[in-house]
Amino acid sequence: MSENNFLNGDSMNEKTALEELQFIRKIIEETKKAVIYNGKDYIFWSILVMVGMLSTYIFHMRGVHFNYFWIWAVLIPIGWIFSIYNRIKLKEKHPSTYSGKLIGAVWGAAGIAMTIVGFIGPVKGTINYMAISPIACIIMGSAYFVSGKIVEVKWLGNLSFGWWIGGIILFFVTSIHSFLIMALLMFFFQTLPGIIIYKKYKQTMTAKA
Amino acid sequence: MDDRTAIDELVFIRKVIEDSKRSVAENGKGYILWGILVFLGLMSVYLGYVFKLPTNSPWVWVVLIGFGWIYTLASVFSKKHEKHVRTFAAKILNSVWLGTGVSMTIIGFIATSSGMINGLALSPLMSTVLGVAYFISGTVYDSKWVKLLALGWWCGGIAMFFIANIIQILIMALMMLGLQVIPGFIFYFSSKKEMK
Amino acid sequence: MNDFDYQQLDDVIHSRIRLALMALLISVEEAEFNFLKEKVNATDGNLSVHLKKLEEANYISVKKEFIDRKPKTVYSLTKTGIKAFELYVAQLEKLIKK
Repeated sequence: MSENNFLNGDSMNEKTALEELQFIRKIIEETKKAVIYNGKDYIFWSILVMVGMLSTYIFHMRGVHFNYFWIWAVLIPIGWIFSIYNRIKLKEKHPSTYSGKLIGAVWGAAGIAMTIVGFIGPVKGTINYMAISPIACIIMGSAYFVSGKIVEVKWLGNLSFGWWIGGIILFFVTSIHSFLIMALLMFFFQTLPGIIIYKKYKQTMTAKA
Repeated sequence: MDDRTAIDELVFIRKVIEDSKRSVAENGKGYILWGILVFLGLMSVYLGYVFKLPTNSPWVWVVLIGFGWIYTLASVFSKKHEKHVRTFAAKILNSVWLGTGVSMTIIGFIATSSGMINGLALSPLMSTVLGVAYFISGTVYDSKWVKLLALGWWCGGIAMFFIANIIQILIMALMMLGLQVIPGFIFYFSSKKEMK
Repeated sequence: MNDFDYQQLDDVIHSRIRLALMALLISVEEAEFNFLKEKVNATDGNLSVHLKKLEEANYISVKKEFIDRKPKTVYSLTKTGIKAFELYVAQLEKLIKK
């Protein structure tokens, strides 16, 4: 079709018409930008990470030394199982939307990246254990930045600056307090937003009912 | 209106939408520019190390990345003067690459200067972060091959975490060509073709 | 035409140019007047009349802004517009399936 002559349509058969309909519906769906999300992953993951960070901090401060890697080896798979379960449950309840799919891609990809950095990075010593938290902060910053744009909620996008600044600070904190700072970052920039999202979800569902 | 006209109406709607999408298709220039800049930086490190040349200097990166940011920002501003049309997908892709750029700049400049990250962790980390950007982009484009590029970046990142020598830099440079510059050219040529 | 009532089709959208405008705006987030003009190949006056009609139906929203000191008029679909377009497509589907 040339640039300006789409005011003349061609004919076609009924089967193709249904394909056209499918295409048009997809575009309409993309325009709606509706995301139905309950925020449970945000809360669950933040609690898991806080448990990991605080237990490492407390064990270290009390002189209980063992390979803290095992704490994470238990917590992270639990997080992944919960996330997958939550996605399946949400999909059963609500039709999937384009924006919902994008949000899923953002957090799925960020999760994969953080798992690679946290579990594979330190195996050969390429990544120092203390560097995992600040790198995770930087990845979280990116994920929040994009999420804010997808759902068009400014405050959510602005959390990225908190994560990026937190990450920069943590790159310079070489003591065990780094774990405490990370736990606090998790609480303010992940647990609280998760609770806000969950409350909004509940309100939307009540209004719909 | 009979059913024949209804079908024609649907064809018409689809054509308008496709035509509009073509007008704002990704031209791949950003992918090519950043891919070549990072490739040059990595090669300067590699050749500097192997042949003991003075090219293995952080200033090479400052110049290359600085140039990349200036060019990117200049093209963003110049686009403001063009015919104004904005799509949701383009807005998301901009935020993906802007977010990735900020993250990579923090890791590349601030993390390394803090001493927390050593030089050999840089390439696998960048590769892992790029995987995130390609995965989201692939979802936005609804394109399997772009998502496969993400897999390539992640697998490359994992492999590089185990290669603690200068060969790692060469691998990263080759990945930059294969998983960034070449896809950039694919975007470029397909957008040219679409425009025709 | 079987028993389908064509009058069910939204009059505001059911015109070649306005349908093109709605389809254009559904595929982009917002578009400037000149972009729409080029795409639908209409004169300034003609396009303005059709855009006005869509605006009056609250299907599109208009934003005036200055870019490089030049005034630009930017159009985007409203939620009502998206719903109306969706309904229009659904009516077409109904017609095909008759």
